[in-house]
Amino acid sequence: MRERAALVVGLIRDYTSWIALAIVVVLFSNLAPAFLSVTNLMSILNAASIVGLVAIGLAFTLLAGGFDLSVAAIMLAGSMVFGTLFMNQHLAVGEAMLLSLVVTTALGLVNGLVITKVKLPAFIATFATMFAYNGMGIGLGGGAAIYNVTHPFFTFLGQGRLGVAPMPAVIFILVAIAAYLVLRTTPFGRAVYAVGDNDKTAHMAGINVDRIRIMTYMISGFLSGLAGLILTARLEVANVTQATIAGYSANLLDAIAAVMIGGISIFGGEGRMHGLIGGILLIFVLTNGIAILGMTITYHMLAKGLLILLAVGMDIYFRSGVSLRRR
Amino acid sequence: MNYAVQMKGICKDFSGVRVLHSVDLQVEEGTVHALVGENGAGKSTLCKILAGFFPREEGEIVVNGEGIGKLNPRRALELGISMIYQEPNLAPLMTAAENIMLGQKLGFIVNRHQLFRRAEEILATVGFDLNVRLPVSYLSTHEKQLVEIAKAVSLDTRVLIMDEATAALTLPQREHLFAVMRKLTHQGIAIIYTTHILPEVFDIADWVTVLRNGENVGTHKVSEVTPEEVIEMMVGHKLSRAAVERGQVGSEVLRLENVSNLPEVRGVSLSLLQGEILGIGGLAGSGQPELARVIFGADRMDSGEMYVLGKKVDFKTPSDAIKCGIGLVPRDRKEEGLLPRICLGHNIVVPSLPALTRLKTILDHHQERAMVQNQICRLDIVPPTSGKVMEEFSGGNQQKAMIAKWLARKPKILVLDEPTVGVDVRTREYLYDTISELAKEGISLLLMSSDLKEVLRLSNRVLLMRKGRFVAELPGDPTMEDEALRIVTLTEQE
Repeated sequence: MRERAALVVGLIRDYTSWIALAIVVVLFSNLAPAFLSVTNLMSILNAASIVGLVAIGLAFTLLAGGFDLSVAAIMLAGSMVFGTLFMNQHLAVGEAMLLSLVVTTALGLVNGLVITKVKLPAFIATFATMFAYNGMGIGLGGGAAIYNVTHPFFTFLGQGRLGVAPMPAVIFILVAIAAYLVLRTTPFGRAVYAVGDNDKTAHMAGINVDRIRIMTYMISGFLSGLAGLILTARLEVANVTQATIAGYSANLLDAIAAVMIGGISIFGGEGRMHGLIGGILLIFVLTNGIAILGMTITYHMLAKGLLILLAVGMDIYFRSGVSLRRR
Repeated sequence: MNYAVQMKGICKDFSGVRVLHSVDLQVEEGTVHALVGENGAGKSTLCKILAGFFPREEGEIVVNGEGIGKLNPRRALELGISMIYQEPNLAPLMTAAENIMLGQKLGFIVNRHQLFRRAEEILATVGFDLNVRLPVSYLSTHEKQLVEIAKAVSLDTRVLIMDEATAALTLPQREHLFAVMRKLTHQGIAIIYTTHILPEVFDIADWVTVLRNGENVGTHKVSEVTPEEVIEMMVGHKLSRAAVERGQVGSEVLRLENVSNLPEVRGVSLSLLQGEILGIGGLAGSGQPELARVIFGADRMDSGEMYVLGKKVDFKTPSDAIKCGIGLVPRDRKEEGLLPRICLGHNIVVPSLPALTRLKTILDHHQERAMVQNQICRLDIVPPTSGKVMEEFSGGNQQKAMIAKWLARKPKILVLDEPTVGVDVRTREYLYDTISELAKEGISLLLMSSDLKEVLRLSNRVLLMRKGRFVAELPGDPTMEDEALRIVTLTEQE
């Protein structure tokens, strides 16, 4: 009996975000028939894809016991790198995309080095680099946006469709599957969890803790860069200026909300990719459903806030539950 | 005769296991009362009960002729009972004076000059002077202890408990501390003093009480006993268990020549043979864990040479040592051994991950499952569910999992640092059997332990360690415990 109860609790814990998602979907589809249409669902996926990519990168750093506040800044810097190289330097689209991804991965590497070698706490290090990378993005455009960033292939990535599926959603789903496989089936994935749970034990088991941490920041940088490219392709503009930067920073907050609701523990070492995907979808389903119902942003913000409290509260509750039982 | 404190029939359980069996302790005013015993005899537990940190199951405590009910640290202080630890507990950024006066009512507005003057006065009454305006973080361990004592004195302490107070001190500092202690006894304060080092008992104490396995086996006037008699009481004459059966040993697998990692490890040489259990015994703080870390590459050695299978090695990280077939089960399970929130199966395979892959990237889940099942059966881990989170297992099964993690890699050398600390008696016996089986399978084991019975019983040979050096080699013979204890407690101080 107790075993079964433990199993149920475990399942609820593993699939919290999907259970919440199911409830919300049922709710919205009853209130607004238009909600369940294929078009609407695809537009939700499309909207979720950019924050989704950023959140997956962020999740890697969290799982290894770190944090990355610079994800949105890297995303925008990557967008400006591409814009400058493609529009001003007239590089081929492939080269400009590749270089943009190399730069954003390198920005992640810098984060990793500052955190592991200079030994700054991740929260502080990436808080600082967030400003630096934002400055870099603004500087690249000389304070102005770069307009008319179009190219058949590039624009397809941001606005095209594969069947009914928007390209950004396709890319997001492919990346999510890859991230799931990396975490589950590679020694690197296991090492990420080990480092996040107890870095001393991981070190004593022969894992190169610093290298694993640095790699998570590079993954975060790369995926933020990818998100930046898709954003640019969708908007046809690389628009990082003093005026826009605050607005774009909402991407960071949404990504943080997604990992928290998705059950990626802020204490490291715990959390699963499927939970995170559920968390991301939940946020955008809420945004979409509330908009369809014609409710104001107030309710949306309120719902997001309550969800985060609930999700993190459960994380802490289950944790202390374990330690209480041990005593 | 005036007793400062009397403890009668004190019983204490830890998670259902009785660790103190009806212990009596009576301490006269103005005397130093030494409390001695082997590791785990119950000295610290008894002290902490008196200081109000642990509740007692049964027993009576009488202070100044009055029975005391429930104790907590605050109530104990009010009754004049203070405890000083090996590592002082002070507020590091506050000045010495502020720390000394911490428990006092100073009024709403504090006059700093007055505060410093009163702190100096208190220090003077116990006979030492110190710049009381310095933050405590600038003071040495010895000076911090003096600040703690002064704090206790300022609180009108009648009973001062000092737990292993000299462990971190140099010889002159120790002498100074003893002088301070004598001064305090002249003021009528009673001191309860626990120590591992027997000569200290004969230097400073008036009375000595010996604890063994949670029982008081005798209280004597120090002038009426000899060190040999005290050792005999500590060890006891109950039948020692026979040494475990040992297998054949082969050629040398590990050699250390003059290895140092100052200040804990000072010029250590040893030779470990295949299939041998080499015990390294000694009191806590003799340098065993530090030696284990050096062998495992967790710390770099300052000097010396190390050979594995005749090849010279210089490990920079644990991963180098692991590649050479060495495993370490560290003493601090929680801090260095376990991934507490990750499941048993993943804990077991962590060091083996590179070997469990296809094409060096993808984990072979079949092979992984087989490895985990194998080890769970091999070590009889209960419950045998590989998906259960590590922190939900009992201490004994966590310990088994830590050994399993190395066995899965088929190590040549396994270093075990205090492998049976905090595990129940049955698991302990099981671990002993496992350790000797491993040796028979040809694994070489270095067994570090402060439990002399344990090393003598399991090992082929025992090296006794003291202050970072090997001071003697004994055969692995449980009947030699008196001799071993004599060596580690009585060897002259440098």
